[in-house]
Amino acid sequence: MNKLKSIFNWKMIYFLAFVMIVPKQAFAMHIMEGFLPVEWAIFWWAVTIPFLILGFRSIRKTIKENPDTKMMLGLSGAFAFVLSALKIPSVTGSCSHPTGVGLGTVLFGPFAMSIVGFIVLLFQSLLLAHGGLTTLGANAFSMAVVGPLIAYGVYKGASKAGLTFAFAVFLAATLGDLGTYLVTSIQLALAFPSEVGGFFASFTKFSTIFALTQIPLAISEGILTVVIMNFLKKYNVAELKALRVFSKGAEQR
Amino acid sequence: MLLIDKYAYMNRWQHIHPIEKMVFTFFLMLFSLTVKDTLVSLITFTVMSVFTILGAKIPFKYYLKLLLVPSFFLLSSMLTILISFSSNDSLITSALWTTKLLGLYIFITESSVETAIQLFFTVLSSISCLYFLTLTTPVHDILHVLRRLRVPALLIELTEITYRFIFVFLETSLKIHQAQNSRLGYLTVKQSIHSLGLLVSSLFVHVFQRSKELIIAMNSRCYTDDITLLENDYSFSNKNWIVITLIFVSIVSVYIQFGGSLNG
Repeated sequence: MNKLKSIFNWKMIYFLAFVMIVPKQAFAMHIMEGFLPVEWAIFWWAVTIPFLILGFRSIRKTIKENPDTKMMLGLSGAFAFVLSALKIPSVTGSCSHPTGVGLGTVLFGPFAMSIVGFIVLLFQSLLLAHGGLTTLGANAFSMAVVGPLIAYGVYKGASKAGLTFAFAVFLAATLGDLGTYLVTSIQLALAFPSEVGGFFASFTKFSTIFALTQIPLAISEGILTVVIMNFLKKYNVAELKALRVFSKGAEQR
Repeated sequence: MLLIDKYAYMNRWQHIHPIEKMVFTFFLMLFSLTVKDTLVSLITFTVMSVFTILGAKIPFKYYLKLLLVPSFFLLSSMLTILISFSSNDSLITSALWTTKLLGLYIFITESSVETAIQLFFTVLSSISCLYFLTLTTPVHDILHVLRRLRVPALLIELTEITYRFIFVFLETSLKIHQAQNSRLGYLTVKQSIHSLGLLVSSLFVHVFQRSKELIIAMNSRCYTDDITLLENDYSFSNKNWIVITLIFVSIVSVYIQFGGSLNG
């Protein structure tokens, strides 16, 4: 019996190590197709749709005042998709794909991001087999609604608190990513609560296991976003000013 | 560049009406997701895989590779569901395996094994449905169906513009990446973050240039508010509808007859 136990233990350790080492490329966390039970999939769709309508209205208003912004928005979606297909070297030595939540929010504001993020997630599931259609509602809620809102709030708050631009961008991108990953953990924990300890035990499990890949990703994405914004500020001031139309819509609300 | 997209235009079933494929996919996917039955999931997976590989002639190797794409997420989440922990020994009932680590009891219960196994099969069947749809139906056709379902035109249009430019920007970024890489731009971690920053910011300038050009190009073609594209000509086939109904009815009747028999 004891022997059996030790073998099992050894196997467990091996399996854990396997899970941790194998992902040479960690994606941001998208809940895969079919993973959420039907009732939760519907629930998260229902939660996301009001935000999508809000974002859609804000975009429609911007486009009415300024028709040229439509092309810009479509192209930003493509830009965000390509961004998420790039690989950034992570602190742990593996590669990971940035989510683009922070950069998109700083550039376009949270309302435009909800629609752009939704479109990007749709294409990720259709073209990259990454994420899914039934889970699109849940994924959009974490990556296109909560992530951008956190990033935007942090960015504004940090700018107001007098932090330097670079640090505000870093915080926005990193915390936006972390917020996304925490929301995903909450979604998984709600759908699969532990028998003992219920939701909280389950949430602890999910967030610790995913922290292994998500925290390094968030930090490296934060650094990358700062580097990008520095380049943009240095060489592309005119373009950044032209983008004000999107974030203005957010500020008026 | 994106193989799924290539196959969507090049498979043997590209001429089948997209509504038929979408109805078929969503019926099977939602049914197997709702009943959560191992047998139904296995049948759905088999039907979808056979259709994708033998019907639409998607290479078997590529299909296998696609099935492995979400394996990391699946493995780590299944492991998370499988293992529970508690600081109190007395709460644990019907544990298959327990151990104590740092004052915490780590254990696997029967019901968590059941949940994990059932989840595995449900996921398998629904990703086979998703892959069937994406490997046989081009994005334009899916959007066309969505437009018929009264999804706001502006949203569809934005999606179409996005779709078109994904490929343009992907190509640009691959070229830039290659150029940087051949000049040893990705040698160290610090160097690669610097190079990536340059890549993304120059891509961003591209976005501006292209959108300005696009606005001019569209305006010169009297663009007002709607991109009208010539739709592909599809026709419904009675044979396909009969096959779809037959498959669905037989899966439902298998579920009514033998449902739960594999779940123990």
